[in-house]
Amino acid sequence: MKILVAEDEPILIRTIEVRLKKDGHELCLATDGQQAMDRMTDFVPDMVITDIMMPYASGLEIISFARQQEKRKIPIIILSSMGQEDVVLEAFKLGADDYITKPFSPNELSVRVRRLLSV
Amino acid sequence: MLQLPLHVSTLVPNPHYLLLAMAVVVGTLSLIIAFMLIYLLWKNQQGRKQKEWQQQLAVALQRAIYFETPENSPPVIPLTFRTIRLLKKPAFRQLMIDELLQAKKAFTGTAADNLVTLFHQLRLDELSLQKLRSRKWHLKARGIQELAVMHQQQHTKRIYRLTNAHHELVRMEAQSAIVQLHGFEGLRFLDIVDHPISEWQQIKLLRLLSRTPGALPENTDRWLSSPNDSVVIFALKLVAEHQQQLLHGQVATCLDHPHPLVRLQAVRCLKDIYTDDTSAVLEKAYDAQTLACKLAILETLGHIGSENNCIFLSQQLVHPDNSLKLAAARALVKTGGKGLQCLQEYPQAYMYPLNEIIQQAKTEHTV
Repeated sequence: MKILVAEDEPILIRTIEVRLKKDGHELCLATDGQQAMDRMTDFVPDMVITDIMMPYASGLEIISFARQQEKRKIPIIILSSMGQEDVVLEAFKLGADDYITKPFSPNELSVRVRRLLSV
Repeated sequence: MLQLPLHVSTLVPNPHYLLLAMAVVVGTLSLIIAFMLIYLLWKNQQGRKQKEWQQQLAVALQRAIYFETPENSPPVIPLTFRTIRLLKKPAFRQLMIDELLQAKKAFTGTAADNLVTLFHQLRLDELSLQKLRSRKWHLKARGIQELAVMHQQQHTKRIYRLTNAHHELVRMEAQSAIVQLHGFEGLRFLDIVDHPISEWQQIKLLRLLSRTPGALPENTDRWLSSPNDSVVIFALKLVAEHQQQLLHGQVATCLDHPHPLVRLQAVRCLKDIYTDDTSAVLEKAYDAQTLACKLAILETLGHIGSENNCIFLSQQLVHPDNSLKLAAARALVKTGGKGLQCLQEYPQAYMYPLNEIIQQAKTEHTV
């Protein structure tokens, strides 16, 4: 499956990349919000994993953009920090399917991705 | 030929000096350019070295994050020969600590445990301990932070000693570290701390504890009678946050504390852990309080009070301070039917400024 990962922390994006590639997914990585939206047009992902707080465009903007662009509904997982409950709720309103709070376990993320892609 | 006077001819530049000046300027410029070139080359080399080091570290960290502990043997995370060689350099070791710390903050579960294993395997805690022994406060604070994030509980004793350190920032880091390492049990530093715990530090500790599983220790009440006023204030916040109704009596005694801020915090705490006796306790303590504390009591009575408090609250409407009048009117409105009746029937209810105060309180309540 093709997954777009938008995350600005190098250690996180590298770890997610290793884990999801090991699971057999094709990845497209973006280190800021604008880059994620630019790549979404030509990559056409089956799933989006996005951080909330990112430079140039936030995760919420990415969710809105993804929902406007998509031809079929794709699952979206958001990565949020502790104490961002309001933002998480806003993300769900915009159409996010699941969220994971940082710090998180890469194995847990892998399981959530598998579960959402199999639905 | 025009003959210049002697004093004027001395002002004409001598070609010898002109050449010398030009040589000095050219020489200085050359030196500056050479220095800039060498600096840029050095900077470029440093940048490349840093990039190469970070690549090595990224590989090592990924190996650690996804390391699977073999059964029946101690976990040893494999590292490349190059990484092991680079680890002899102090700068690389420090970079390794920085990257490990960042990664540890980002992950939980096995990944986080493996990062701690790598920290321990490379004996990086020794470097953190060296910082702890330093005389420079910023190094001490950094060392404490490193040991806390990497969950090095074996160094608790050394960190605990610094919870009452003279330097405020070292002390703050040590207190946070102890709570990070031992949760609620770590709060025992409150027994020994002589220095004030700043408002900011109290917020930081409460935030750390909110993410910690467990409950307040049974002997929390001893902090309510601490000689350190800031410890009493912090303990009152803990009691309120963790709804320790059993400590209501001890909290009520804090209303007689000599420090006004302790008394104010006690009122706020009673608002959160109130019982049937609370409003009577607050009424009794009211007269001896400062204006801020009186306002807090009236606000609390509005929140927890009943019709039984209406007489007391009506009495406050005669106070010359308008802020107290308004707080009492607000509390009466909040207590409901009888409170509103008391306000309407109050002899000066239709005279300025009470008429406007009552109107304001009523409007706020309906909005």
